[in-house]
Amino acid sequence: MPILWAASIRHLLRHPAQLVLALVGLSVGVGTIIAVDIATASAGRAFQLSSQAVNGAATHEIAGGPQGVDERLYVDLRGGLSREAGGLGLRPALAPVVEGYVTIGERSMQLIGIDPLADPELNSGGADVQPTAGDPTRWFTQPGSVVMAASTARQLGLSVNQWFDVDVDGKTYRALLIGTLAGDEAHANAGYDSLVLTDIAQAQEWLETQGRLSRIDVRVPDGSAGEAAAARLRARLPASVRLEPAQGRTQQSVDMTAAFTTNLQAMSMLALLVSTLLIYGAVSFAVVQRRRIIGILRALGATRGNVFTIVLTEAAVLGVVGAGLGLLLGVVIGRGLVQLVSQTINDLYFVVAVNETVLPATSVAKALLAGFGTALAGAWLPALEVAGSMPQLGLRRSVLETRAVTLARKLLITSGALAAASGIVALTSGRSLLAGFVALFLLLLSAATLTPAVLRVLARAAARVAGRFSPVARLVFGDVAASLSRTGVAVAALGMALAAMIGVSIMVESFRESLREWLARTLRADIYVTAPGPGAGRPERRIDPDLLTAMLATAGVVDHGMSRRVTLNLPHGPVPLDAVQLAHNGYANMALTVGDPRVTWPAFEKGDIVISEPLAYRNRLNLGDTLALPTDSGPHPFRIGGIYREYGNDRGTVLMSLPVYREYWHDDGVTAVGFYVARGQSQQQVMAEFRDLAKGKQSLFIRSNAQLRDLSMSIFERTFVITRVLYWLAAGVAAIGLVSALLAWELERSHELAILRSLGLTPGGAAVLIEGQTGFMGLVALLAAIPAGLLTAWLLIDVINRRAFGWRIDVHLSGAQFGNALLLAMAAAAVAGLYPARRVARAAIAADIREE
Amino acid sequence: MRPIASKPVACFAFALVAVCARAAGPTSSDLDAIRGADRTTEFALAIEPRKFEFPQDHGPHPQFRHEWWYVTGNLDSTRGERFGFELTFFRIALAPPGGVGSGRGGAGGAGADGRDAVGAGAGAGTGSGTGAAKGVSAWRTRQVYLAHFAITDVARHEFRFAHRLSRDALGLAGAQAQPLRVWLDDWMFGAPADTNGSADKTARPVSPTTAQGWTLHAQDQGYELTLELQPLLQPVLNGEQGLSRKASERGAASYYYSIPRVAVRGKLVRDGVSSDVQGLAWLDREWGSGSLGENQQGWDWFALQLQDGSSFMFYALRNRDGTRDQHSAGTWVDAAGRVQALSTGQVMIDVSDHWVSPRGGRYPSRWRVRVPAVGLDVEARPVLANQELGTKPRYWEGAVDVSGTREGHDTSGRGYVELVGYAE
Repeated sequence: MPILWAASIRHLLRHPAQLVLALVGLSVGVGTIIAVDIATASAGRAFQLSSQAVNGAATHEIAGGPQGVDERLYVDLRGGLSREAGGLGLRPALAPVVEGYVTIGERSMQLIGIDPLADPELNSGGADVQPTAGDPTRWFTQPGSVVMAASTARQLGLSVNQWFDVDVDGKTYRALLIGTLAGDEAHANAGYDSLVLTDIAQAQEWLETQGRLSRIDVRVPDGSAGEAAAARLRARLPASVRLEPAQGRTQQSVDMTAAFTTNLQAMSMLALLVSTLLIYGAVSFAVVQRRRIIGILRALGATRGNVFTIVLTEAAVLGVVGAGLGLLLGVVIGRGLVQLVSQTINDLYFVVAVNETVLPATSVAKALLAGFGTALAGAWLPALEVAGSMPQLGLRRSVLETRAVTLARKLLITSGALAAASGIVALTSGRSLLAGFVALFLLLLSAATLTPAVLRVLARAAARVAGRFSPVARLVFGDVAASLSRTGVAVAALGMALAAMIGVSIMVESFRESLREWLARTLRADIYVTAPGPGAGRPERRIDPDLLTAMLATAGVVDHGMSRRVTLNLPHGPVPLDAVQLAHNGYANMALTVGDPRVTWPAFEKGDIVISEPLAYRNRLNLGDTLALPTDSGPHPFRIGGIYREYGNDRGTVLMSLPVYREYWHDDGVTAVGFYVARGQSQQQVMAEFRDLAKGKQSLFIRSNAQLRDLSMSIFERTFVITRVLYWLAAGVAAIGLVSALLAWELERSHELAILRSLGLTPGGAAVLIEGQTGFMGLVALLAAIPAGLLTAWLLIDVINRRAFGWRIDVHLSGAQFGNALLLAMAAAAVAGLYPARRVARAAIAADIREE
Repeated sequence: MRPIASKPVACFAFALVAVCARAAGPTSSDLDAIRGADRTTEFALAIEPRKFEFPQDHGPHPQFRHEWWYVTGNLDSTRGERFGFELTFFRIALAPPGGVGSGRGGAGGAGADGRDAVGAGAGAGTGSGTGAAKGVSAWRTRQVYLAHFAITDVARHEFRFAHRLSRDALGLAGAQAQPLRVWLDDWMFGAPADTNGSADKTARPVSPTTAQGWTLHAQDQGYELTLELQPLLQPVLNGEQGLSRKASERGAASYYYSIPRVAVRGKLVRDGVSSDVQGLAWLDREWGSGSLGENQQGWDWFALQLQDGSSFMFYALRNRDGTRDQHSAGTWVDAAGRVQALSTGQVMIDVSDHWVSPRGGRYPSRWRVRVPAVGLDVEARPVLANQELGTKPRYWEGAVDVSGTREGHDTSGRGYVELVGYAE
């Protein structure tokens, strides 16, 4: 049926604006998904690569508590393993590792201390750690010697044989680059870019972990002999250490970010969902415009199947092109997003440097499928509709409008059903995060379907009321009510985006307020001093003991609380342990959500632990349960005496009394101290004295209470930057949809408007008329979105946040939370009206009338 | 023998430490000189004969750059199977003993583990010496140990070898004089270990073992060898009262003694089956700080133990042009233990066969050895053609059978031959 195809192509070519806007909407939707994929995949890959670079060849590792493993264990294992094996057992390869984080210039780097003689294959993932210049024995004999990838050295502006400063835990050391990794080009992008390699002795001295190893890498061959060797090794280990699969912890670390990335992906889905509606709008409009010709063709013998195929094919082509463009756009957005994502991961999870972006093959497939599927799904209904209509009826637009009116009623019912379904899913799905998102999308769809119906009702009411005062006003609103076939979908999309925006705003705002209150309650000391360095819970972060003593003796300091923060490797992943010694009355500052403070805190001092909400939620732990923690003398069960509120991290935190910690872990380090300053004493002066004390010894973070709060809040804000970026993208897609639909509608009415103009409507009047109509639509969409937005907020706070992160947030409502939505609605409406208004005002009336 | 700074020693290299770079020339680090790095002391050199004192001299001499304990031998099992073995420990200093701790490595090496705190000033931090608060890492070292273990299993036509490396730190590897003990991981030679197997030498209760009665233990590649060693002779000083010159350059010499006949008995476990073994071993001890001469390519070392109780040692240093270097030398010890130094002109060696290594390189593999001064005319044949250690660089060290005449009478024997410099 070539004439049908010809008609299709000619139509599309003659209406490029329509096409372009639909394409833009679709590609932004697809692009958002791709961008999020790229950002999360790149961060994950960078982390995995650097983990592999660090212990790639190892099959297992011997891990201990937060302080790692006693180096004597390694010596004993090397000396005794084969003797014990009775001569013929396989001897596992062992290699000691001391690692930590250091700062070179502005850059956080992972310091890996190895013994290159221990096992050639286990050395840093089998990398040939041969320095390429100078005297290689300097590795052992020259204190300060380090090696890194050549590309890393270039980025840091270092050349071989150059001395430079390395900051470790606020202390500065001199390091000498004795060479770069051999075969370096292969390492450039293989995870070595944020590694500094040095001798194990040097690493211990810089990190001040003399006597301890971070872990012992172990390699056994595959198969039963290897398993037997691993089992023999395990049998020799003391209770305080464990033999674990090597990649397990890497995986756990990546898994930690799962909730975070799921949320990002959900946000990106939102943009696609909005663009589905957009395609629907664009395709229906394209169909509507062609009702006449399609009606004629049907009358001439084209079958329903022909028409259906044509419309779907158009949509499919649109989908593929949109997906392709989206892919390109996604790569561009993804490059920007990856910095935001890695910043958040660094703030919250682990240190990772993302130097290159990866585009996973599955994402390409996903993009094509999403673009294609979205376009087809959007075109399905209009195609069915046009194929299903009677040929002569197809010629009349009134039929369509009548149908749209019936549809509006149906939509109202659908909306109610979707909302109910959303509620049921949310309330019955237990802990499933996925179900939470399903409920969220159902709710947003409900908002989408509600909006056109509300628009119609309100427009008709407005027409009746305003019509009493001005016929033009009646015309304005009556037109809106009658134009649902053109504008309904765009309005629906806008309504959905607005609901999402309101919901997210309320959630973020509530979270912020909850955090602020929590900080205000928890942070009571006047001055906080923290050991510096990248990575939370790193054992090398500790305040110099002499310095601490000196600070405590400073005049004006009346009280203090201190804490040691380390990371425990629990079977389900790494969990921070905060060992605290609170100041006088400090317990009052801790917000217990479960447990009686009068019972909990005395028991806490005797050895109970208190865990944070996320830890309790994730592991279904409750008051009175026990949690086994890996102490220096093996796992020990600790009773949970209470659950407290904490927003510090979503993995959860174990809180323990500092004396109890020191009893079970032989670690007298202190990570942070809060100082209380006497009344009347200047905090600034005490801080200045602290700085003088620390000068030349350790560059500590010394912050006032207010500074620390600001810092916490700014990390929070940074975390939600991505969320904001994503919801603005979704809103952008909706706005494009609205502009596109209104534009089409207004252009189609140019004849009508020309008649009005000829009847005396001034150009200004026409512009007001058009802007009034679009503005009204924007407002209605906003109104319809408010209840849905509130429900969305509830879903986000009580269902999704709880399930994803485990914490509770108090709801805070304020007018400001609706501000963005109002802004978006009005801006979209105004922009949508701008061009038609200008055009109508300037149009040659005669020509527009004559067109008929 | 192993002439000094032998490439195998210096270059048995570590993925990381290509010590060859060091051994090949003077310290390359001009930077260190500029920075005045602690090069206050230098390595001692073997220049003049010295007085050997045993058992102290069985122990390490950390003031010299390198040193080795070399045990090779032929074994027979009670099942009638024939084996050869090699267990060698090399000590390689990466920097001269200097600064703090040099006293621990004093002459005579009594009790010295040779480890000096190179990193005494380590940490080089501007950070108020907080690095020093916790002190120098126990991993700091200026010495590394290297060990080779090889078994020649004649009946099975198998030759297996393993090598290990370790730093001289934390008791991972080390050497001490009284009682003699050299070890790397669980490989050891010297006084028997205590029962608990701890490598912590300071905590180890040791019996006052003297030079009499050592043990040796190593395990890898499916073989575990445990031997008791009983020297049948006093140490024999090679060269000029133990000073063995390897080239004309100053310091291109080593202190070198051997115990050419050591009775051994013990157990060899192969694939989980233990056999009692006994035989005759050869202990070589050498230390120095020099390297090979400019023109020297490698060497052929012969250690032959004859049936009549006499022993022959000779090292033929090969020049790059294929000629024998004039510093080549040897020692003859007769059945009564009388020692006679042999100069290069007194020893004639003709190669009558070759073996081509599948890894590359062509080794001599049958020799006629004639020493008219002692009436020796024998042929030495490898018990297995392939006894090449695939280390870096590779070398051939293997058990040989000896047959021929001594002063006109038929004689036979066994021995070990080392061929270095034939392959990279």
